[in-house]
Amino acid sequence: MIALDKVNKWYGAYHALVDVTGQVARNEVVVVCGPSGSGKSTLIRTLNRLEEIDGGRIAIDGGDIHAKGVDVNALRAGIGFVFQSFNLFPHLTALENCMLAPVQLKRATKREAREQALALLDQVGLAHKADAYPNALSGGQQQRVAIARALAMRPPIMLFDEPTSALDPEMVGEVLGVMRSLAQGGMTMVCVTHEMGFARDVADRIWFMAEGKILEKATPEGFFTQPQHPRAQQFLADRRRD
Amino acid sequence: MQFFDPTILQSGQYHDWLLQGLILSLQLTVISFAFALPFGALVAVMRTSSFAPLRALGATLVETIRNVPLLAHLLFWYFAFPELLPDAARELLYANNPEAVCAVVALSLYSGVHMAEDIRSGIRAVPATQLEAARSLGLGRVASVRLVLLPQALRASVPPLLSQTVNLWKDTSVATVIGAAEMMYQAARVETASFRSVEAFTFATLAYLTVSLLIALAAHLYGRRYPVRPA
Amino acid sequence: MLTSMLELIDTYWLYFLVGQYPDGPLGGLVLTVLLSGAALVLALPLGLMLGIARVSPYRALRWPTSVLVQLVRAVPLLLVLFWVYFFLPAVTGVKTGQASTMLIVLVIFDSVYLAEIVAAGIRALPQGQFESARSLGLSYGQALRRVVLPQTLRNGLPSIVSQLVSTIKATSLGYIIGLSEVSFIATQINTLVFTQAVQVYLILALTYFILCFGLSRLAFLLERRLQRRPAQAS
Repeated sequence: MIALDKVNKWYGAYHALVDVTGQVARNEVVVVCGPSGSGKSTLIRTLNRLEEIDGGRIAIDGGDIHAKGVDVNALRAGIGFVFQSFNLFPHLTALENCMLAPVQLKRATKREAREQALALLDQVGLAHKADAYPNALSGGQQQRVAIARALAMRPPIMLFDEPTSALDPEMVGEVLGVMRSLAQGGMTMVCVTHEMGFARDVADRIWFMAEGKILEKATPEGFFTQPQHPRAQQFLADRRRD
Repeated sequence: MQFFDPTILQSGQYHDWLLQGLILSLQLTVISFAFALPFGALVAVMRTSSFAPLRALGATLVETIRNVPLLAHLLFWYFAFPELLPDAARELLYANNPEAVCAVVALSLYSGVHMAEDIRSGIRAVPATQLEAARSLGLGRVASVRLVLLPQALRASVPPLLSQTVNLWKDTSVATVIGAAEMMYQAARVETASFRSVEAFTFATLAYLTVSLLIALAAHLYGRRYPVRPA
Repeated sequence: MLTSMLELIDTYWLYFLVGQYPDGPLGGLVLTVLLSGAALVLALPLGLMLGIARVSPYRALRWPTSVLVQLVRAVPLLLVLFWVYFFLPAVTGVKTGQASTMLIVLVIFDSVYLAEIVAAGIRALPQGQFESARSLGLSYGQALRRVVLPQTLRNGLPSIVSQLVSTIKATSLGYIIGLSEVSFIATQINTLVFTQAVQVYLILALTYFILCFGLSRLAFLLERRLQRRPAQAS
């Protein structure tokens, strides 16, 4: 469903993504992990063109997302993106946050959008907070609303950029729980995360990145028990020490 | 009669008038600045003092002066204030360019309180922890203020102060209302005498632009040379 | 002093308030307030457009607007007033009165300063707001209209009220072209009474003070309220 072919990106002289190649099949959950500065966030942000690439090809459903004539907005409407810092719209209630895009992009009438938003908020366990403003919600609640907001556009693909890194430890579980049930429901997902427990339980495949390259691709079992690349071995050893 | 005749700007009577106007505008700016800055510093210190009545006095000064337009200040100082003076003092005032004197008083006070606010925000930009750190090292109160607080406060204050100087330069134009023969007065005078409004106002526009941009350039260079490095 | 001031107010309050109206054009304090309010309201759409252009990703929009804003701010308002007052009739052939001239100049003045308020507000908003709006598929324009601007305008409300205060003070310059705003009326009264200059101008100062200080306090309270209920995402 997603195909990356020799993707390269530079920030000035710094080579942030180096010949990145990989595929994500439909219904597959891929977890991208690695040390800080490895390019994981940059990579996931190229998938909905929040970052532009300098070389290579990215295709979603076979179509080159950088082709001439591609409507970036339509592309993004078909991909759900969840940020590390939630980025809920503070001037709108949780419900209105989820309704905004479907209504503005004419995917639904106001009534339909409202019903759908309520259903999604219920799905993430926050139907009772529908009329609350973001500043009245905890971090974990805000992130769950952010997930519901991304789901409101009914995207076939969901991207998660370190969704729990900004949360207090006790709230991480509730967000991971939502992501887990999404995966179980068959959603195609790419997650950048440090949560190794989640990766082990939910991922179909793990991509390990360092210095802009994907150094290892493995099943969770393979990765955690027998990492091949020395860098991956060191990474896991460091994690175990914590 | 051509639309724009620059020759009248280069020599002749109109040229002289405009030049005199420019000189007076510059003089008003410099002299008012010389009074406004110390006054502003004093008021800023008052407002940040730990002595409540002093703080209240500082705040009252700032609010009463700031919320009245400069034009009304000028009218007061020129038309009303002399009535309050004893006869001898009033005669002295009237004999010595009262328009310019009253303009300087009004401009100094008006600009001064704005500068006070800029200096005060500069002082407040330095976190309290800086003074704590200085005191923890054993520095006395005065030394802490002098070596740690003031240098940082001043560096933060200079850009808004330079911006306020530009405002002062522009505000001298309002002194025309009490008959001070600064640049706007002279430009209007040239217009009345010759109907050459374009040339006169172009001269004034270029003069204001040049000085404003020069001061803005100074602010930019200062910011580059002494950047504000937040604690 | 106080009794003479009260007597003055008693005698001239109507003239001070409305000028020669209804026997002549509207003047006095009401004119000052109406002109200021009208100028700010008219300048808002213009200031909004200029502010958006100031932060636009297109250089062709950003640079000319930047230059325009810098130019207008480098020149005294009185000079702009003179340009418009002496030139507009010559250029358009329509004889514009003092009040219309003042209104035009105030709108120019307010648009430029409002543009700066809007631009600063947009720049102060966390980048994530814009990114998450675009990630949902909203276009640049939709993201601006539905996410960025509502927050910017709400956060900028204290600054907008402060701009109203500046505008009220700026209307005093109309005196110089003979506009019957409140400072002009005060001077008329002074000429009539002649012996009570101090009282007359103290009343004028007091009037401005009450109006401007009152509005400044409102801005301050708005600022406080905005900080207590942070509408800003962290």
